[in-house]
Amino acid sequence: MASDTPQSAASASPRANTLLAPEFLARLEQMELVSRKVLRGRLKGERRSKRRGQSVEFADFRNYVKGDDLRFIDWNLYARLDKLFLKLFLEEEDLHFYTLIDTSRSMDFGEPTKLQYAKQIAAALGFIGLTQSDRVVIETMNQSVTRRSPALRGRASLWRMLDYLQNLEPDGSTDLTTGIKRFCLRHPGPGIVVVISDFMDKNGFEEALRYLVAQRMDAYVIQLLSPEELEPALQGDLKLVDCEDGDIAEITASSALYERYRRTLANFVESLRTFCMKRGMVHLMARTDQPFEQIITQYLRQRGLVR
Amino acid sequence: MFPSWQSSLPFLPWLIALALPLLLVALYFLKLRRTPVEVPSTFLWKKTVEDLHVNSLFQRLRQNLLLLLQLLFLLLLLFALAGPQWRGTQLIGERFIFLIDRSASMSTEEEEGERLALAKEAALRYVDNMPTDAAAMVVSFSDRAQVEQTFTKNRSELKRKIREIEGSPRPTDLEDALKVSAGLANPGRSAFDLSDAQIAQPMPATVYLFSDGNFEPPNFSLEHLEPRYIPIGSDRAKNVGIIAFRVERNSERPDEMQAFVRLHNYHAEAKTVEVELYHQGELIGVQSVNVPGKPDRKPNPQETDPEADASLPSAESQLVTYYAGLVFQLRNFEEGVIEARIVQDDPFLADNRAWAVINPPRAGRVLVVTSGNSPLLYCLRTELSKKISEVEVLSPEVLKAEDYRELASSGRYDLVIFDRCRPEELPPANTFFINEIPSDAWSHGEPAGGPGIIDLDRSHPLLRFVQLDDVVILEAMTNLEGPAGTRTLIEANLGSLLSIAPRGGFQDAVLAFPIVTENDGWGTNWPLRPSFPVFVYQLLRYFGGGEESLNSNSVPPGAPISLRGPAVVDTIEVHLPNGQTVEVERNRRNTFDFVETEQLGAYQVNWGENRQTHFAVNLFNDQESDLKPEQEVQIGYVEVASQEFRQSHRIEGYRYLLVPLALILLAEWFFYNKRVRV
Repeated sequence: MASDTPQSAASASPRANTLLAPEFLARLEQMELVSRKVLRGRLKGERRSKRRGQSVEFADFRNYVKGDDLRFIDWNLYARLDKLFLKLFLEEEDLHFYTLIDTSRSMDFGEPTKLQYAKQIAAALGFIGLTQSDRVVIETMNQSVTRRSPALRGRASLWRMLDYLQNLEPDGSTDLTTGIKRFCLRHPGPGIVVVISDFMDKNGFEEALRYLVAQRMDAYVIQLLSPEELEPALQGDLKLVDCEDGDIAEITASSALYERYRRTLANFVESLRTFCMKRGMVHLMARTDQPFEQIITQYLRQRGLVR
Repeated sequence: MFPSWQSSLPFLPWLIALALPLLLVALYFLKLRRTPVEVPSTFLWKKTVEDLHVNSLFQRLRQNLLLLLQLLFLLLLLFALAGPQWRGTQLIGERFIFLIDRSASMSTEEEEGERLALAKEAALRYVDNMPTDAAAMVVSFSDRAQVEQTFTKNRSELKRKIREIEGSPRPTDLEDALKVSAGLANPGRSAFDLSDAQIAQPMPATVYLFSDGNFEPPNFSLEHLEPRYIPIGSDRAKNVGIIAFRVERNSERPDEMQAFVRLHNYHAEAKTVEVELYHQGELIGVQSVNVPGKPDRKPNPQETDPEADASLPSAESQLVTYYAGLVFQLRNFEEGVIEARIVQDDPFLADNRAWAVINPPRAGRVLVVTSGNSPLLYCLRTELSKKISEVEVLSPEVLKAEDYRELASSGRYDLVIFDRCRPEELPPANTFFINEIPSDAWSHGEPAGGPGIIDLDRSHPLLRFVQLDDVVILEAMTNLEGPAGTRTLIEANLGSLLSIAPRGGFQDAVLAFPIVTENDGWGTNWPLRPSFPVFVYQLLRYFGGGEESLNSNSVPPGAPISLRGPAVVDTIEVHLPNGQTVEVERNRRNTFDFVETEQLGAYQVNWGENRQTHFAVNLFNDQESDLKPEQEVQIGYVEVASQEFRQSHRIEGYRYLLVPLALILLAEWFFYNKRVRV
């Protein structure tokens, strides 16, 4: 089937082009998602794992101890050796890969917009997951958006995934806590979750991220900021209007004020990074004016999400 | 001091003007129509601004700094518009001349400071009080005037020049300073041409004299100069000064010397002082003396009885009561500097020290050109004469040789005596011609016999103590006449028998009759009279320079001194009291003119080959030592009393507000630019 290959999938949909370039798709194909938590046992195959024994694929034998399920005793071996051995099987487990995108109106800033950038990251990571037959779920945390992406698996779902991403529009205001809480309720199992947002929530990000910690998910937090936010170039006496809630901040532009703003921003980013680090989450701050391919192939690779 | 107000604005515009600050505040709040800008989130901005709000009142003020500056600007502008005026004083006039006395007496230390410093401070205050468009000139004076600054309106320059004035140990003479000041006020006059017409418009000026008033009233016509006198100093200063100091050989004991010190007390209280005497810095004597106080008032000749004889003891005693004399008996010093020093310090230090120098007696060098004159040569070789002169004798034939010309032009001789002969060219020395005239500038008639002496000029040093009553002269030149300036010393019925005339820096004396004749006979019996050796001795002293050894080497500060030395050299080195060395070249008259006598003290002169002489610069000035400031001075016929010369006037305040206004504008501009620039 033509749509099975990434090239054909990308060329089939004009939307795919805007999110993922064909050359980049070819590079993504070589990658796979890595979970630091779920797949750790599989990486070290020699170790006995309590998760064995659920699938049909044989993994190992072990001595019978009292209390073991008699159904897994290898009777042929018992006949030959007169000893009880338990037959172990590999856990047949796929990787649940979630991407949670902030689609609030504040994400509609920058060139390209933060939302577009987030979509590109989600598309790239989703494509890696799909090629590795992982279970890929992309959701938005905006409360007003009810539409959820279905769980996708396999390359054939690429088109659906891209289509879903393309249809995401900025709307509503950021409410991290509600968004992540709902997500956690919907997806109780372990997996990898990548949260993409600017984290400019006036109620704070701490409570929201605590849900992820409680979920014991392997969480990656990508904080997106546009150059306008990092180095504002405003002049004069201004009334700053919040695009989400219409909140107003009056400022008189001065070098001293900008200096103070930069310090506040740096503190904010640092507090998020520290929060994540302390709780075993990976934090990554990305500027929308840097190539998003770099985020995937360089930064996320360094942080161990892909390899 | 509260200002008074003089605004030209009527009521209504004032009301509007007063409303301006309120308007500004209102506008400031209205103007804050900030441009709305949509941002992704005000989350961080709010945090940033919150921090600012936390930072207290100062931040608020900083935000409103522009408003405050503008308000201040407006208020100052309104203040200036109100026309504030203060009451102040200023000088009257348009042109001022500040005469600042820097003579010796101005170095007196008063309780408030040095008099010169006080005078300068006073002058600076007067400069500050000058009307805006007035011009002024600064002249400092001692016994000579120096224009420190010509007429200018630049006050800072005037002040700088006043501050730069330095004191001098010279005496005071106001006349020179007044002449300098009168240049523009009394134009079109020259001292040489009486018919000089006045062509320039006189520019009257007010002369402010900052002085202690211790000077001779100058004989000067002020005309367009209006004098003002600002007395400097107080009469509290108590001064005892050395007014004379002299070292002489004891006439009775030639191997001893005597030093005479005269002290004056210029204060009413008597004072006991100790005087120390030093030779080359080594103490050789000390004496204490009580100097009576000076009477409160100087004797005024107008007030004394016109019929009373001035030489009467009563008048004399009034003059002499405030001095004391000291005599020190000293051993014989061949040379060196003797210093007298008053041990007790007083406010005026310049007259507390005096110097006298003893130079080795210098023998005058005398050349006698004669074919034989035994009476003259005999007198030249007496013991007394030998002490003051070295005599060389040459025959008249030598005059033609080249060697003579070289010898004579070297300036080696102080006196050349030509006995009945005459050189082609006169030597650079004093000459004495016997029966011959020096040059064609002189003339005489045919010799005639038996001249009868009519008169002698005994006031001349050559003829002091000379009696010629019984002198017989066989034959003499008649009608001896010399060039312009010739003075007849011995007058006879045939004309002058002894004349003296100046020639450049030298003098030529001509005796109109021979002492010995050609055939070795005597032309006169004068050599047999006692007056002849006396005359020859005085000839040596007067022309030979032999009397300079003692006391002749003291000059007042600033006066030039002509040095003649023990050796024939082209340049000499003069070591000043402060250690500086000055080289002096020989002049045409065979002497060395030294003018840098600004410092009090002993000066050392090096003549080469380790030969040294000294001379001293002493104040010895009664007027300078008298520290009591005069409250009134006389200039010409005008008596100038001290009084307040400033009139009160209004000082316009708005001018002084212009600078702060400009500064505020600048500050506002700066803060405004700083605010919008990122």
